[in-house]
Amino acid sequence: MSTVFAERSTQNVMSPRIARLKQKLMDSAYEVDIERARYYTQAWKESEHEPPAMRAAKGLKKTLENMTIRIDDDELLVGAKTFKPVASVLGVERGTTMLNAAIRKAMLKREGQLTPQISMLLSGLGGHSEEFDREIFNMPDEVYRELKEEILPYWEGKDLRSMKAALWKKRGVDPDLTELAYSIDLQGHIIVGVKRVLEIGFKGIGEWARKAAAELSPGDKDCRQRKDFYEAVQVCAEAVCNFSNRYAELAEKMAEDAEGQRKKELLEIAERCRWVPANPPRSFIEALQSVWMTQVVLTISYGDDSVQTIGRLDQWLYPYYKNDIEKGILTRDQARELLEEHLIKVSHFLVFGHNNITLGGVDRNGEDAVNELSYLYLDAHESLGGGLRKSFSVRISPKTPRDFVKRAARTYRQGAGVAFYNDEVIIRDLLVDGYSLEDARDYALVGCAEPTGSCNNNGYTAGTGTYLMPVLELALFEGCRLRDGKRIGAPTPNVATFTSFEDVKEAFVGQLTYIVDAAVRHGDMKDQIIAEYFPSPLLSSTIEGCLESGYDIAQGGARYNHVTLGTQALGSVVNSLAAIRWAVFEEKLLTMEELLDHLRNNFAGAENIRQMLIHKAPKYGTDDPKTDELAQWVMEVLEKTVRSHRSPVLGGPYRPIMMSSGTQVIEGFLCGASADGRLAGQAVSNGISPANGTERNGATAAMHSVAKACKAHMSAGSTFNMTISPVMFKTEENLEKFTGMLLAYFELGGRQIQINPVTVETLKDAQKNPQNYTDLLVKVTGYSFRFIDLSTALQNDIIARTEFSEI
Amino acid sequence: MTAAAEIRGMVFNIQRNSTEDGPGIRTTVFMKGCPMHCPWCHNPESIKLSPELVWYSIRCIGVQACIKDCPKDALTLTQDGIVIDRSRCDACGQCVAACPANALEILGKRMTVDEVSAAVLRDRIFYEKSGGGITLSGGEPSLQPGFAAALMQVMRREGIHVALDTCGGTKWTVLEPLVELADLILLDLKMMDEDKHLRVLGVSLDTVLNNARVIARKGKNLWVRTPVIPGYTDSEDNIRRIARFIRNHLPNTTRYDLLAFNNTCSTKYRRLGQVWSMEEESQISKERMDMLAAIAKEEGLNFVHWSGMTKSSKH
Repeated sequence: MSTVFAERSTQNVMSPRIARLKQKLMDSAYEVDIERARYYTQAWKESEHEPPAMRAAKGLKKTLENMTIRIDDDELLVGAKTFKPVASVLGVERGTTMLNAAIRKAMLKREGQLTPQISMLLSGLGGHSEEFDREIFNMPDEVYRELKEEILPYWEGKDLRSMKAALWKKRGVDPDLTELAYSIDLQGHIIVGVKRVLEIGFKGIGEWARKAAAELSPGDKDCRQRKDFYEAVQVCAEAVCNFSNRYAELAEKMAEDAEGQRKKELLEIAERCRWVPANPPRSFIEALQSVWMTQVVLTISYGDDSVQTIGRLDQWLYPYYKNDIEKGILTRDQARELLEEHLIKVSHFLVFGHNNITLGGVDRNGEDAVNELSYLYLDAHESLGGGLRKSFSVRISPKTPRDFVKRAARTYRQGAGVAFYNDEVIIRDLLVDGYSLEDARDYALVGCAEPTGSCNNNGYTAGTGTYLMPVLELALFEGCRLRDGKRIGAPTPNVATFTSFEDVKEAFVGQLTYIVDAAVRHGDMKDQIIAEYFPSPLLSSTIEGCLESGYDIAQGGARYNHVTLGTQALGSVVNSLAAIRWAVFEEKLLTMEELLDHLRNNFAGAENIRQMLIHKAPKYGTDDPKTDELAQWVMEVLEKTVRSHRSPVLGGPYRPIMMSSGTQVIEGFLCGASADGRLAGQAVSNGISPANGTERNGATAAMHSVAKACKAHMSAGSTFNMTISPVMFKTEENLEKFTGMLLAYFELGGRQIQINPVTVETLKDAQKNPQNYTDLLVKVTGYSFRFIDLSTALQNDIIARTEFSEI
Repeated sequence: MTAAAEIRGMVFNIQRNSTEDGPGIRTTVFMKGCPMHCPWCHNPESIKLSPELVWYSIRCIGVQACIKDCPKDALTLTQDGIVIDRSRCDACGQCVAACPANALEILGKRMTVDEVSAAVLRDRIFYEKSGGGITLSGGEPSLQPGFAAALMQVMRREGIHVALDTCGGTKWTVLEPLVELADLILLDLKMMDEDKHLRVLGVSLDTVLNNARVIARKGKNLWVRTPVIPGYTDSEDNIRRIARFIRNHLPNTTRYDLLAFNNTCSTKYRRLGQVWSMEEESQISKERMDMLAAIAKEEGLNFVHWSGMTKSSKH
């Protein structure tokens, strides 16, 4: 076991083995891999009369038995979610969102049906560049044919997407309203049950399910359904163990033709694959293999769209690390190299969030939890360098050593570094969701930047939500949207009747209540379909509460349940409200009717009015107490409105979130001109960040404003993007200053922050010469994204955000 | 409200999150008026004691409300944009109010000690977490000694770390009370040639060096700074002489900074209607900065830093 490391690195640099693995990933183009879609479709066809849980299990079993597997040169950790090196797992039964939309796009393009508008709408989350799409468009004929003729036709009317559409239609949902009160075809976004897998392995999980099924008696509540669940879990757990054994067999077979060191490594790979994830790991490398294989099979079971994050690995892997170090069978360098390999593995995910690892913070008892692995992860992150899709969320509590904060901040020397989270604020928020204090302290970040409990809840931090700028638009236009005059909102009063700013606020609350209510209704219908037809027995079996109760996570089986209602654009909303208050009601520079005329005309012929609204009206992000109070009001109203709902399906509360994953471009597209001087179609502000170009009083002032906006319990998270000159991270002295700045922001009560340490010059050059910037990462929301993979609109938004900070 | 709190000063900028003017995160209060007239000054708006009007071409949208509203007829629109007749303009600010796009601005505002203190204290938590505080800069703070002293006293009472950034070009009797109130002195030593000093900067070198020696005798923590300016201060001999002076006379110096010449301020001169003699001057190279820093180190200073933009890279 101790000799598996052929080439050891002594400095904080990649070993040749790791460098080759990284290069291989960087050189791999995005491809379409349809094996999973093929086998799920076959299994579904063969199981039409079986219970949904068993159909899910059989789809998984058939895929795991038949998909092509491979072990690459240099690999010590094995397992891949697709045969093609970089491809997404097509969760075909759930419909087509996010990356699946790219497939749809590719097909439409082949058929000559792809218009720019459809392209943009399908880009949706992430907002990929044309460059990125072009790779997807290279879909081989036989793949296209199989998808078009064999796979997709079967799912018409049977996948979540079409069942949801049918139910919405049947219940009379206005299709125009679903654009604003949306619920896309996913739940997911969950910290998967890494803890349980490490503790008892999939053998233990299967055994648990077997015993629990045997203990059920016919009179028990939902006996049939729960028995189905337990039986499905047994099928899944066995399929997972067999899948890992396939890798063991392949490694042994490859070892026959291998020599020397590689032969030895392959035999050790085989030994590990036979032991984990079936059993509890016996060493650090087995623990990593188990965590990786678990993420692989869970992604296969659920599809790539529904983000499955792996949580607090510095905490959960530490006992294995410590044990191996104490036994003398592992060195710090060897451990770092394994972490590097694991980070390359998670960088294979194209949808962000799978690759988000949480470090630091407090433990379940509230004590500082930073350990040597927390540092080692940052070392590995640094030695791997840029270009990879890896992401860290660093939790900071008042007990976190300052040295660790500074160490984490140093990651910004390489460009996009870690995102920072404030334990004090987030633990407080999660208590409001109903988490116990211990479980709240054990939170991790899901997906982009969403705090949830670890391995004990249904996640679901994205999927349902609304857009606040169009909601404000409805409040000004009696429930009609500006784009085409169509009434989709509540019939709030005509502005002619408004006598004070309070009337504007009241109309906003009225529309918000109406639209949130609609989004909840749309989401609940979707959740009902998922609960009935699309359970996920494998994922559920890892989550605390499901094996205990016999209910799937989709049916509220997890220990904790919640649904998240997404929003963004606090800056644009507050600036618009503040501009109305200032220009119409305080300074009386124009009337409501005049303002509305300018909005209708997209400020045509009124550039002076528009400039006045941009430059003279108060702005969120300037540490102006009066405007910050307005921001606090928006957040509190949002929290109250969202929390007034509970999910009838999952049995937990709705909770609010405010973040943007390129969606600021989409919201801008849906919204006409606004009172903050924004023109129709322009991007809105991201997350809870001040709007681009409005941080007039510098970073500390912006931090004051944002921290105040964090007082409401935005428990599913809020993101604050800040651009800071790369100079701030170059010297030890400046790093120390940044550390102080960050700690001050958290003491003020800021929830989260992520930094883009880039210059406009760099970004503009990258736009022009993408080939020179394959390594350049920027923060989009919590996660880092390759700048050159972003859509032009989103690139421009990031440039605009950066530009101001350099003046 | 005490009388001291109502003392007014002429301030042209209160810069929060300042990371260049002393330890930690600071708020720098830039005060107008300077006894020196360094040709390379990167804050030309700091030199005059009175407020000045500037026009930003990139913000102007051409509505000409400023011209209409100017009571002194000081503004005209030419091919080059708005031209300000500075013999007429008294910086009343009516044009600023009239412009929807904030394309005009008055630099320099009479502010009370209370107003400035309130702005500075907003970021107290940032000072505490980073070891920062307030820096009085300019211009030369000691040209407004009463205001500067009152502000520093308020900050001391609040427990805020106070740095004084001075060119050392005022009389010791004026400077002394401010030095007494400061926790840290940032002192510029620019050139060691007596004739050149007087001719180029308009202040005698003796005044500066004497002030420096007395500050040293008071045992105040001292950071010395030299702007490295092509043709003026960038000779090896000049840096060597400054370094020797620090070694021999300023034992309480804890840091020596070489600040590379920066030509990004040329637009500031244009906005003030001034021609800047150094507009075409190129930046210093990184190698040159390294070399000058090495000379200072050779003279026995072990606390030499250099910063600023250089030819080869943005630093």
